Amino acid sequence: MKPHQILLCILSTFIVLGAVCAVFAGRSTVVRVPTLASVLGLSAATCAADSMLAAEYAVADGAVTADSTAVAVASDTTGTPAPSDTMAAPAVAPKPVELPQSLPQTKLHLPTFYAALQTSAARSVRIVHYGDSQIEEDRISMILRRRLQDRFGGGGVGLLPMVQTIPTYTAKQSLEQDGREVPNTFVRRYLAYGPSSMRLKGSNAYGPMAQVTYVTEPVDVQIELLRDRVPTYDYDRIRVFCSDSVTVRLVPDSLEHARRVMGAPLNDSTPSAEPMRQEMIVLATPQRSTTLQMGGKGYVYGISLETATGVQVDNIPMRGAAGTNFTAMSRGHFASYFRNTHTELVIMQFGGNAMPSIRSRAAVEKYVESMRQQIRYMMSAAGEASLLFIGPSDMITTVEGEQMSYPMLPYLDQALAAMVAEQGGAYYSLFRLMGGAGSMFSWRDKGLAGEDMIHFTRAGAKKVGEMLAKQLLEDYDSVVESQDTIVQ
Amino acid sequence: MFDFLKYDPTQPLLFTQFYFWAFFAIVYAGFTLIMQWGSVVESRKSRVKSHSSLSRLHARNIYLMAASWFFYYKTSGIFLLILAFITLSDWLIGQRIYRSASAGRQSRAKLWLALSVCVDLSLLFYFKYAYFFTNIFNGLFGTQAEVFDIFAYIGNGFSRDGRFMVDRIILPVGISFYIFQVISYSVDIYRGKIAPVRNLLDFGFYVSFFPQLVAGPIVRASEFVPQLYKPFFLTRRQFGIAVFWICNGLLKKIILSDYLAVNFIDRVFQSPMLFSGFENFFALLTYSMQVYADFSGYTDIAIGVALLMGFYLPKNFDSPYKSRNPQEFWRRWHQSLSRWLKSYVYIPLGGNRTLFGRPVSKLLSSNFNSMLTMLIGGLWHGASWNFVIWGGLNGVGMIVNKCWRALGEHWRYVLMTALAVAMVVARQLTRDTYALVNMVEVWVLILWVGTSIWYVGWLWGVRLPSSETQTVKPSNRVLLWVDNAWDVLQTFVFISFTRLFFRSASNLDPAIASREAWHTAKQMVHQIGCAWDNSIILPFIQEYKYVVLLFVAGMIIHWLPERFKQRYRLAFAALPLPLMVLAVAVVVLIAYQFITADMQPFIYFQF
Repeated sequence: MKPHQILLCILSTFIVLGAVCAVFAGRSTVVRVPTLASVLGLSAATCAADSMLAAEYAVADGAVTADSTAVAVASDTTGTPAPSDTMAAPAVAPKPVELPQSLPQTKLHLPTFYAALQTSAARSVRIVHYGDSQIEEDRISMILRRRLQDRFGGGGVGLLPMVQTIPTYTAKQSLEQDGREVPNTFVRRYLAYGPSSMRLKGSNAYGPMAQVTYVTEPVDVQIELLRDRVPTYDYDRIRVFCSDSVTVRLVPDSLEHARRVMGAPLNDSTPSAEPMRQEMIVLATPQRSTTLQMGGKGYVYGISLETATGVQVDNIPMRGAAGTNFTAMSRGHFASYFRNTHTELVIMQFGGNAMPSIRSRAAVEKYVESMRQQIRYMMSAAGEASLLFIGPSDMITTVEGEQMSYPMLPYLDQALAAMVAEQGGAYYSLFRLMGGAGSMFSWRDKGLAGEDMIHFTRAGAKKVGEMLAKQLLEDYDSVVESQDTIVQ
Repeated sequence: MFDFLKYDPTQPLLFTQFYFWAFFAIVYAGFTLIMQWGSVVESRKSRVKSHSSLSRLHARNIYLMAASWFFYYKTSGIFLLILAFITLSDWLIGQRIYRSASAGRQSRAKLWLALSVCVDLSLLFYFKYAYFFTNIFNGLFGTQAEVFDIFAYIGNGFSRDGRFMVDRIILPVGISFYIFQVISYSVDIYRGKIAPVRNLLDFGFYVSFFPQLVAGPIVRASEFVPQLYKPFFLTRRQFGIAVFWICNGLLKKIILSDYLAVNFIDRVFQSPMLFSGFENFFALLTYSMQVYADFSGYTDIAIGVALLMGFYLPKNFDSPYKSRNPQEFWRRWHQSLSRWLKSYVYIPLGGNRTLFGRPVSKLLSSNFNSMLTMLIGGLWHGASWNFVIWGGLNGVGMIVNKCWRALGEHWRYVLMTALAVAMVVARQLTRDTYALVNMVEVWVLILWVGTSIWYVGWLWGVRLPSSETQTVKPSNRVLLWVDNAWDVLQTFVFISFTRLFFRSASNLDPAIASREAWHTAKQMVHQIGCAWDNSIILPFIQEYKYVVLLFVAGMIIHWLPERFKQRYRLAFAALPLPLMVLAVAVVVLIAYQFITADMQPFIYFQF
């Protein structure tokens, strides 16, 4: 064949495809055909910002829209390393995104918490961070913990489950019997979330971690703080939350300096004022690794590695949860935990798992109403503690063939913010701080979010943790500053 | 309009995007003009036809080199300077090698060759392995050294606006491919296999030919350079085959690779702990499909595009998952790299004759040199220990398989039984707590069952006929098929498992690649070995039905007999041109359906 014949074939193919696009684009719901404008890249940005909710999304506090993020992308000409040169799709150095370092987030109104922080030199101040899979592996909480402990003191990693089914970056756990490691299935776990087959029968006593472990025979729990990611400070006390019939022994005994038991003492048939027994073991010296011998038969709600003063941060991920199941758990257990651990801030980070099923305003309102109940429930359990709600991140889906943010996400973010404010909590809009609708593309390109454009990568989670810690510390400083000004 | 001419890292010219095909159409229009204009000139000046024909070829080569450089500029921006430097340096040194060798000065030719290889590898090491070696240095000496990009520093000196980042070294796209290509050029001249290319621009065209510039196949000078001086010639059937390869590549890349990656594989590799052992294992298997579809799809398109311009690129994949053992796999997978490694690493190391220059037994030299070659091949794929482990595992697989095949039936059974017993005991001793032990035990037990069945059959006198035998009884055909399927399955699972280390290390920022890759690999092994739950399998298949269907369909197509595939290729190539144009349009629309398909919802099966 001659080159001109081949060229004719190439051009014919373009013409046929162009004609199909011109005639059929948008007409068929079965076969998707792009418009000529979108093929030629002449159409407007396809992010959800141009959806029907754009106007509603244009919040007054100047949140950065996807378009402005795009401007930031285009204006920067420096580069970051291309990851590989071997794959078919040429690895291109992603352009750095002007990530939100100091985007306008209204100050987090957490008066009780800030006041408690001022007393952290003399006592322990605890933050309990509940969330969905975004906070698994202690990814976001560990940054928050480290930054606050750097500033206010404190050590340990807070509350841990007895069995570590999902490794974290901060602590390594294993079970042993007779000096040999045994699998996690050695003990039975019950969850308040996830599949119904893992629920407790006839009880809602899941404890503060929304999961509980049932011990039937003696087993050693080994816990070691890890140093490789964000090193954690040593702890000087261990607190075990369990039912009365469980025995706890520290190995070796010599590490134990003192012990205090709260709740019903052993062999006491009198009903306790506390639903959980707490064994607090004060250590002779600060530690990084611990072995606890658990005996008897009963439930273990969690093991806390902490210090007498400073800040403690618990990381409590609930895989797949939308945050609507707190009311199905015993309020007494939450209240007991919050009260006895001086919990001054409860963080709830949910919404992402609800988003795929939210397709209308009515669905948004239903979810928000459900969360209102959860927040009330948790606030009533937490007493005077402050509540911070972290909303869902930007998330991408496919709508009529185009990838964009979930159309209802901006509305959900706004509705949650309003509801949390009504309840007297503070709202941290991850969605807006990421850059708003469509910003997940930039986060993905920057290596901060995964290809599913739902979950953060480790680097992305670190970024979120840093942003949150910075916000809290800045707000704390401004509160202290204003107090000083009044005093003067 | 003119933005299209500017470098934009977010808009590289990818084979799967409209802009590449617009670029190709424009390039082809120019190509046609040169070829047609040349024909007219030749017919008018028939006396100087041969000279004019040569000029036309030079014009074509220069034109395509310019197009290729534009293509690379669009993909890599200022790194075009590296390509230009490599082109000039290897062209000049190639001349020196040839002159020295022709004058009988072998030692001087060797020095020039060493210089060429040093320059090429230095650039490769600088851009690709700086982080890797810095991390090793820091690990050994407890230092906190960081990379420093001297080129960025110099660039800032010129630009005076600090536009280049000195604390990061960016990997230029395709550098591993074109560096290997120019090394083959210098070595082939030294070995006397080819004469140097006389014209610098022709050489530049060979180095930068855009269809294969960023992802191969690695074209050796002896295969490509002669084509520079051959006139355009393409039969009607070849044209049809070229179009077939392009369509085939697009469908592979978009449907089998991208869809599987986005909707399943990437999610698992990003956060293995979110998924059960079965999901992690299935992700490994599907990743094998994805990486094949991605890489071979890209190569298919490259071969098709090059063929439309009258250039023949070597075949790069030969249904690799039909392989019955790791050696065969590496003969069928990324063939241009395997051949390159054999010619320029394995044989210079001593091949199956010598070890470090000393004659030793064939068994020792071939195994040692194979292992070393696989380790180097692993490191070529990426700068992380995971790639080295991946290469090493493949090397071990090849050696173990070679030794296994040399054993008699009795020994095979005894060894496999001993291994199975050892693994069962090891698992008992470790009480199911070591993921790797659990995984290996299950796999060894499966192998032991297969070996036992075969051994019992062998004791009963069942013998496998040679597959080359013309007269194979129908009952033996079944036996042959079962034996083949067993070997293919084992090889596929083994290769998929080794890719655990490969994929974990892919697409990572080089500054953190080693740590992150190892972490991901460990988590996946943990999940497969310690978090396996059979009750998840059925719901998983129901929820991820499109992912499972695509994987199964892809494997079935892959395993179709070559004769059958050849038949439908030729049938496509024989389509009338208008019908072929319509077929291409249909293929593009099908691919578009997958590009824009709804994303698979995220589902948790394990808590």
